[in-house]
Amino acid sequence: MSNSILEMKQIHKYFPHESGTLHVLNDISLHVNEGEFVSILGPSGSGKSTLFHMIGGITAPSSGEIYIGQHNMDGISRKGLISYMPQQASLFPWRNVETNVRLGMELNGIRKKDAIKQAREGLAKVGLEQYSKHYPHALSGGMQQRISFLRALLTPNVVMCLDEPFASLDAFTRMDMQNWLVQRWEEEQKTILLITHHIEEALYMSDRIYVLSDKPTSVLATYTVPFPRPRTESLLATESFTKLKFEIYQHMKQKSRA
Amino acid sequence: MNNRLKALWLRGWPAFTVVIFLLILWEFSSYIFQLDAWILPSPSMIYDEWLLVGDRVWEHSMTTLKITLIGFTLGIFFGITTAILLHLVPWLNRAFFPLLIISQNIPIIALAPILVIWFGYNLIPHYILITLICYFPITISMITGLQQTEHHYKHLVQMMGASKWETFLKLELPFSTPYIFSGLKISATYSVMGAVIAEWAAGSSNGIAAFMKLSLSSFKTPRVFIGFIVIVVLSFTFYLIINVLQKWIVKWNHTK
Repeated sequence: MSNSILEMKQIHKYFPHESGTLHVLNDISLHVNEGEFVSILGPSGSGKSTLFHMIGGITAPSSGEIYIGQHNMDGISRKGLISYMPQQASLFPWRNVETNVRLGMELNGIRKKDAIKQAREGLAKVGLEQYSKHYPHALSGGMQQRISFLRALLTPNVVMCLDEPFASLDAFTRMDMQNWLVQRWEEEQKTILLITHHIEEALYMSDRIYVLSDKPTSVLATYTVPFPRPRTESLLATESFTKLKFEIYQHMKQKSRA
Repeated sequence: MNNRLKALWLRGWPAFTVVIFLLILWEFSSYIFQLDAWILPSPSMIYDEWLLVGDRVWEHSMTTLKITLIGFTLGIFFGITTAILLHLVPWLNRAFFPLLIISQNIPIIALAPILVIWFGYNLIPHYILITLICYFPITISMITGLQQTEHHYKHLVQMMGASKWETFLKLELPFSTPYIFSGLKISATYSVMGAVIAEWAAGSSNGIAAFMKLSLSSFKTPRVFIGFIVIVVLSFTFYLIINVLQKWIVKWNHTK
């Protein structure tokens, strides 16, 4: 585990609640290696966003430690160190596409000249350069998510965290975006941590999957996804894919009943 | 341009027609009821009076406009500064916010003579009064805007490495601009009113209020009405300018 970029060690999180405390995260340990695509798969409301807020350094764990590289993210002393793609695109309505894409670079001290260059190259690479002067409200949901992804991708932080980025999209746009994102990742080989409640999405995109239980959230199982890359949609129809999907599904179901 | 005029007409004709209709009604009723000019002058009498004293009215108006602009600018400056300070420094907010609200309950019209006692018969009490009147709406709406910045934006920039200052500069400040503009619109309309109150209460010899006061004391009611019109036109022009600026600066659709 020497090359792990993100490491969470025995994380617990309690929130104050009407009747005492609410135990949200129970002994979560996980790691993400450099250049790896890891998914966290769990039911809705299982404290996944809390997990990201801690990785992003805006919430402190009640106990346990989080490391990004050498930095201890205790939620107090340190600014955020991740590239983040939230569930809503969260593009700034007062910035156009190009300046939105530049945000992460601005926050991390990239010189304006270089930021402009990288933003334009990035937009051109994904075929969105003709929209660079458009404002977000004029774009479709899928398009906004692409811009949001590009903003995260160009943020010069080592770990990219995607928080259910496709949850609000319709099924077709969702598939389209998954393909698009897998391609981008295969080109860039960034370190990605994806949160999702969609088994197929996790299987299709990632190298490894952590399956989480419901409250209090703990790690149920870890899967290594065996499918070779580059991956294409046809993978979804193969027997091994469906089998693995069903296996994970059964696993999650049993645990939630128990 | 032609299309825009046409659109303006299509939207504005009902209001325009009502105003014309009321003016005609007013004109005729003053003939029918034979009211004296010093009680209620007809629109045509007011117009005749304007032909007579237009130049003087113009000078007085410019005096009022000047102090209004200075007071308004000071109000914007202090309003924005206060909002930023109270937002960025939480203990300042806790210490001064209640005071800010209480200060608004002091009747401005009663404060004017006190300020004259303190600062004398000069322009300082005028500036202070207008500034006080303009200050509050701007401060309150800007603070509201800064504090209502949506959480998903804040989480995003903070997780990506923004400091408190960067969060303010790149997120909260632009987010609050539509709110600042709604404050500015209220202040812009109040500012002329504030100038008139200040002139009236501080006993100025120049300015539109001085002109109205003088006219009133000699029962030249048509001239008082000219004063009304000047005040309305000034306030409305201010409002329009702010509106145009808003359209120009706040290009995005805030409601999504």
